[in-house]
Amino acid sequence: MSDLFKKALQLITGDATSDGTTLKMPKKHLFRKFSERELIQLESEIGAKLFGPIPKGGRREFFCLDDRTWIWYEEAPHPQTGELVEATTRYEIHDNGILKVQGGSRYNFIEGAEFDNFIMAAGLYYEQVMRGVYKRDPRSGKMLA
Amino acid sequence: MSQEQFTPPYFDQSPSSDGTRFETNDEIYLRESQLASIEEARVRLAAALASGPTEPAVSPEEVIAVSEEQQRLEKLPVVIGWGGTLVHARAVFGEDKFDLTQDDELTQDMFGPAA
Repeated sequence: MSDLFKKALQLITGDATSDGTTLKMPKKHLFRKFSERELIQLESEIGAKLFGPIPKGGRREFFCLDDRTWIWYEEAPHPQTGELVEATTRYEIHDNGILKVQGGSRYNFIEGAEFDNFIMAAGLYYEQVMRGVYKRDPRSGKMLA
Repeated sequence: MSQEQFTPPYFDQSPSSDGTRFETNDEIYLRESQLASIEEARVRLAAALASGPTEPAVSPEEVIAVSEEQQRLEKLPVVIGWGGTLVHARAVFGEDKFDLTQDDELTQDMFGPAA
């Protein structure tokens, strides 16, 4: 895993949420108290819910890091040993496909149903984040009534 | 001076088909070989027509697969666009420099000027 990527992931999944608390959107002055990092955390809370319930004792992050990079982070206790097992997957959007990178050395272009599912997940993420975090219509960008 | 330089050029020429000029043996050979190629092409075309329809080089399944792949690739700029919009939204909202009541300015900044 590259240092840059590791640092970015740590920024998002780091200490701020490790105590089990989550960021709450205040009702007034929606965005004034959030840094970009915190906004990504808010986005990731929505992203994590797109894929169903998180296993007990586990943790999931799914967020758009930049226009061409999406991150999936999953942490769950091993069913037999109980030890926490973590996995990070990075999806890179290239002009000729989506490259899935796992563990730094395993990588492949996703295809078929996996490709379709990723596109669907990214679309749902964009739709829900634009509405839920930024209070904007995802198509027009106009403020939601 | 060599023997070659004394050779009159017209020894190597013959009249052109329209009689206006001499043409070289090379040109005559070229013309004949072109005719031979045309004749050969005619024979091959006749043989191809006589043998009926041929198998397509690519199967219909392969054509569908390529088409589906193409459709998938066409979605990539859309995903990049989503990501770009989100990144921009973070920059706009995270920096706390826009008044949310100025909706038009913010919308324009995120999505560009209205068409």
